[in-house]
Amino acid sequence: MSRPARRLPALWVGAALAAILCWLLVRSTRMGSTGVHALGDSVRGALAALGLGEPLADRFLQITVELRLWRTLCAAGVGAALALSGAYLQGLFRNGLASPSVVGVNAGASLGAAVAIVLLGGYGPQALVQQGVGLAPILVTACAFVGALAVSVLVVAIASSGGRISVPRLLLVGIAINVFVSGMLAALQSLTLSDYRIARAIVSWTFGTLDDRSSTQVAMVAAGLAVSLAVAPFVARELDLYAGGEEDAQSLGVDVGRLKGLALVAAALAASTAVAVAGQIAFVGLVVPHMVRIATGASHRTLLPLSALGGAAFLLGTDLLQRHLLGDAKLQPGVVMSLVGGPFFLFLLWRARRELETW
Amino acid sequence: MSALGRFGTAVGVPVLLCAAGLVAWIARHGGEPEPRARVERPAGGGWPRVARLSDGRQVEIPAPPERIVLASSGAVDLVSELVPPERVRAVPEQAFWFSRLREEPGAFASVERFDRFVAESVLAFDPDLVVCDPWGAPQTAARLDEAGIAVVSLGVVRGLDDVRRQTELLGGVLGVEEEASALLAELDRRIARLAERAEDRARWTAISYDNAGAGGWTAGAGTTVDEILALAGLENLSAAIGLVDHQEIGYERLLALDPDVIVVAEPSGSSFPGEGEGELAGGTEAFLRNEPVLASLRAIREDRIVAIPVRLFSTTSHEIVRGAEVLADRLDRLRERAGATPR
Repeated sequence: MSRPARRLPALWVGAALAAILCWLLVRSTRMGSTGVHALGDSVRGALAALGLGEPLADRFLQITVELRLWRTLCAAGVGAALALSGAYLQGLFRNGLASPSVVGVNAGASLGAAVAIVLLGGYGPQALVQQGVGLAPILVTACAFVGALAVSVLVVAIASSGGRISVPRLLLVGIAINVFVSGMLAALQSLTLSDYRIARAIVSWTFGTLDDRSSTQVAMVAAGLAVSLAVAPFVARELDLYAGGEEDAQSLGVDVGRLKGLALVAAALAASTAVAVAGQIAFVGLVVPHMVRIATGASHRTLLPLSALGGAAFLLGTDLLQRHLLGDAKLQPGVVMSLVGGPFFLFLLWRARRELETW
Repeated sequence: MSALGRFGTAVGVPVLLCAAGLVAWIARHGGEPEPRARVERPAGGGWPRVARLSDGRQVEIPAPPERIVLASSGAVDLVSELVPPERVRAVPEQAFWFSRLREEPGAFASVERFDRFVAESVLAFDPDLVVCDPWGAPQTAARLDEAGIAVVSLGVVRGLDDVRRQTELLGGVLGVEEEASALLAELDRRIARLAERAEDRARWTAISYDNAGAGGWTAGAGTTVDEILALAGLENLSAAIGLVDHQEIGYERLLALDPDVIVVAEPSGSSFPGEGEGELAGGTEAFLRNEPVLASLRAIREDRIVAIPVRLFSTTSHEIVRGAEVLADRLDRLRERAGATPR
């Protein structure tokens, strides 16, 4: 008889993650491309930015504190949203390889962002461009969000039949739609290849970025994350029952249709806002739920909130580490997560090989 | 670990390490200077000639080329100044957006055009010489070379010195040494006039900035934009703080630099080339003016964002001087409007 895997108490893990996150938030708010701010200045400036105090006398200092604060909060929010989305989808698909890209979020966001970038470049009907000019700083995020959500809705709509969502069909439709939307993006890139500035911007967006985020983008991520977290108490227990199979869950009284709908909406909303704000950042939604599952078990009552907490700490910590190590020769977060996430995921799989029966 | 896993690890780890080493080698050696290109002529200056290119290749040119295909906007800029259109068989469609043919097509408007630089399309023009950029489809250049076509790949252009070398190279390859010398002499005169005007203008600080919605970029030292700013009498702050080539720049650094002038490119898209441009919406200027975080920048508060045509912002030819002239004109108009220098 095999020994049950050792789990840590969820409360301890949560407390540890919260403490680590707090430290990371403070550290990240102090660091930037023009040096490290004093702790007092960072705290006072951050409170002022949040409307909880007076701005610093040095206007440049106040502005840089705000820039670093929005970057930090974005990193934490995006990490939390992606990890939470991944946890929902892994529960829904009953497959540890599910991630937000399955429902077309990444592809849709990339296409939306590319359209906005081309529009800002002056291409397209001038009347339409004139409309978009005043929204220039937020236009790419807004279009990416619309693209992500639209593609997710399309995937779910096509995968539904008679009001029922078929999970296997969802996966296959997601693959097909992803390929098509990626083709549209490639077509747009191909047509603008001769304009190196537009081509560079489109490619650069797909690497992900946390630089120069605004309070509006922070609010957007926070809203998506809040709604997604609010759904968790209504689906956590049901997802645990659903893990044993759809028919078993139904026989235990789970409204499977409602469960799928809620989980999909929560996952798509969280991922759409995250990707719209920060671009494509891979692996957070895939790796973090696995880490939490190995540490505390598969119960969604703890998995969902701890994935959010863990995702925030993971992305913020990775971003802070690479800025500390590489300085100005930085890599975009999407690149870093791919370089770090792949080997780390292999390590997790190797450690949990007996449970996962993968080796 | 299973046997398969051990095998995978034994193969995969060395492969990954080799890949990492290759990346590091490229990062270390990628910026090293290229060998100088030159043309070897027989005694008396006749033909055939041998062009020794900066990519290490040797190209034999048996006679003055009469069926030239140009494969980049930079090549079009230079060659269209040196030879008449009768000697040019085809130019890329993009040349009418990103080269001097946009404003001055002249007789080149009737030269045939192609969309993509692929061997089959180029061979259809029966060229005796193809002039291309170093990064423009090396496979195509290789296939043309194998087909016996003389392919001259221009070197990387980082400033006027590179432009002079390319002009001399093309003068030798095309058999138009006098025209090339005249072009360089004219450039020197224009540069001297720019220098006189620059002394009248106080030495403003500036940066170039480009933001198409996915982060800001600036041109540091060793770029054609840096050359344009210097010719126009501006101090490039991006170069002054040690940035080399084109680099990303965040708002924090931009605010810390707080330049007198921000130089941007006009939006790329516009009415069809030749139909007039007028006021264009979109682009980096719109971004700068609508981003609240940057509102405190002096260049924005005091309306000193200067836009130059995108083709000059990204030129790799002697049009660098035209870019500086356009920039200088617009700076002088700014000065007249403001009535005073910023410092």
